[in-house]
Amino acid sequence: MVGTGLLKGLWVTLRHVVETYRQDWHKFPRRYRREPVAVQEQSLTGLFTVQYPEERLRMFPRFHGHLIQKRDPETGLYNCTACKACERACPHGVISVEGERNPDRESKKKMLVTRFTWDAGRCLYCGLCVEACPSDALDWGQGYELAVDRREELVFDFERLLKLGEHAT
Amino acid sequence: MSLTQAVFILLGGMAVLGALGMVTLRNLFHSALAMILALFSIAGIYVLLEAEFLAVVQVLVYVGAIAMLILFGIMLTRDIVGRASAVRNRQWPLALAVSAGLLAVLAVALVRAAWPLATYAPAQGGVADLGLALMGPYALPFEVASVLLLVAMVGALIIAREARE
Amino acid sequence: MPSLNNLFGFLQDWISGKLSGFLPPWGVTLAMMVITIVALLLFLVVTVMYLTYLERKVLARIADRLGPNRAGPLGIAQPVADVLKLIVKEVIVPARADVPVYFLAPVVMVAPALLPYAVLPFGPRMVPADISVAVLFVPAVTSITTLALLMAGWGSGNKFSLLGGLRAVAQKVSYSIPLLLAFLAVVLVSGSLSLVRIVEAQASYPFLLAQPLGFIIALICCVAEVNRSPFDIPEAESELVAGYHTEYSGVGFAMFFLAEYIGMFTVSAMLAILYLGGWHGPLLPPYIWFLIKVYLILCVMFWLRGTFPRVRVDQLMNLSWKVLLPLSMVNVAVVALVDKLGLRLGFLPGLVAGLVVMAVAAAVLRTRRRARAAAAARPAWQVREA
Repeated sequence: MVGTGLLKGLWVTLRHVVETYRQDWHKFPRRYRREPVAVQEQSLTGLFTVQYPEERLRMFPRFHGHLIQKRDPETGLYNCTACKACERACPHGVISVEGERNPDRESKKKMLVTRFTWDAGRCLYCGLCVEACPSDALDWGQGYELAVDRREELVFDFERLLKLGEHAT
Repeated sequence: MSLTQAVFILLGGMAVLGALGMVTLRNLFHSALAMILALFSIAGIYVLLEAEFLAVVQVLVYVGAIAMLILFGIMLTRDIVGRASAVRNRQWPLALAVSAGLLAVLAVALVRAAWPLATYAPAQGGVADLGLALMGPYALPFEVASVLLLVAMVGALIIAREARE
Repeated sequence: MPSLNNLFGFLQDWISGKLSGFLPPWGVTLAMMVITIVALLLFLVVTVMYLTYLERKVLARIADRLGPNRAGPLGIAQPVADVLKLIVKEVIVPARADVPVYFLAPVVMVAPALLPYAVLPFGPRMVPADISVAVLFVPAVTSITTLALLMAGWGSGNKFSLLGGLRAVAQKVSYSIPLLLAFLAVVLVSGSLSLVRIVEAQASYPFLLAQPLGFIIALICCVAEVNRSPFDIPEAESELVAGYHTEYSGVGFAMFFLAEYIGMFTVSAMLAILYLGGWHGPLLPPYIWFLIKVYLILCVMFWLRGTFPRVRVDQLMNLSWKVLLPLSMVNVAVVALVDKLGLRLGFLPGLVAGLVVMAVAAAVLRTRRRARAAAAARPAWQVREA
């Protein structure tokens, strides 16, 4: 019949409208109150809108948000050995690492990191540094609210990356 | 002066202004707009004469359709990018003679007419009467007009159609 | 309840009673006219503001979004923000504009858009002027907006605007013919050109049931008449930037916007009056019923906009001249025939006849489409020989 395609199209859009309201119903009071809500998953049906400052999405594991420095969960020592593999792997020269031999001979840590900087403003977020890391120290964090007021603040030092790593785990 | 007279003078003035603008304005598009003003004022005069149906049809047909088609024609056929067209051309003496003659005839007719006041009230429910008149005593002129329009339309189609081998 | 039903009538009586204390009779008449006009204008402006909000919400829901939600709770203050922004925006006149025409166009657009409200009945006693040719009056005055579109297209001195204006004229002239023919069928059955009388004739059943085909034709034509998607080719963003209002900013643009939405409300009101029974309905006051029906049709228009892609110019013209025009003529003939038969069965004969015509039309269209598809599938050399 002529016109059944049109009716089918109308039915599809109507179904979408109804579905968004069904989801609304579940979140009813929360969605319309103006207060920060917990991180949520992306919905696959119904409303796709995330009302950003109040609602936040949980990012997926492969998301390249920012770099983090990890610690050994048992000893609490950082994993980085200042081997400079990441610095060599970086195509943009965004990472610079300096280390020195640990004066404390008995410690498990042979090398101490004296300086580790990551310039997020010039970073490609390609992830070659994370792949190059031999000691499972560098990894990606899922944070995405990295805006700052001054360009210098985009250069992350070692302490900041360690702190980001604590938040990520 | 009654309110009706004031409105009549206003509408009549608009109609005359529109007509004058139509013949004197140098931009063809502006003349067409002036013509629409004149047609619209005439519709207003029809309302004043309590011929609502005529007024509505005047707006619907003249302003809504015919004036549109004229504008359409101007925009599609002329070099429209702001070139002023001359008000006069070589045929102006001829045109002057013809319009002077028409003016003379109209003037004589206007002066000679007695202008009697109607002794009966304007017909109420004009649409029904009009319909009955068109389908009854005036059926033949009505049909002839329809056939004329149809012929004109078919003729336009044949002229406008691309020639095929 | 009766006082609520006739709220506006009582208001009218009360105000005119108060005024007659210190004004002569003609003064009271004049004052009542001004009050009615101001009330209608206020109603229309507020309605238009919230129609934009409603439209954005409905379209957002169709696209699985929330729509405006920042300004005020649920984004309820969004239209106010939009209006303020449009008012304070700079008015820019293009260098090649035809200035008088450019500035006249928005005015010519808005004024005729307001005129139909002189005759639209919102309820019993709620019609400013019950003139005898109202059914013709509304399409006649709204057809003047075509002139405004052409003036805007010409006055802007921009080829996109000009193309938009030309398209608007072609579209409006084409679609007003089947629209008037569809309205004619209603006039035939009700035996009157007055909107009030037509509504009164629908006391037992709405004409939608008796003329399903006429309603569908009228709905399609109305959507096309107000240049709404899927017939929005005069302002097709992807082809013509914004069509005739490309060069307008600030208040000029706001006027076009206002006129477009008032036009939508007008055609929805016309459809509600002619096909859905106007103010008739149980329990609720008549004007509430009328507004419910109008908003129902408006929501259907938003629904259509959210569902269908824009048609091409040739498809648009084909639909009007090759499908809607013949169908509306058949509709007039069928409705006249059913009416003349005088079967005392209410809307049933009309409904059956309408459905039969629709089925036949669908079958004809399908065979023609098949034939065209078959012709297209044949290799080119065969077509040339045949």
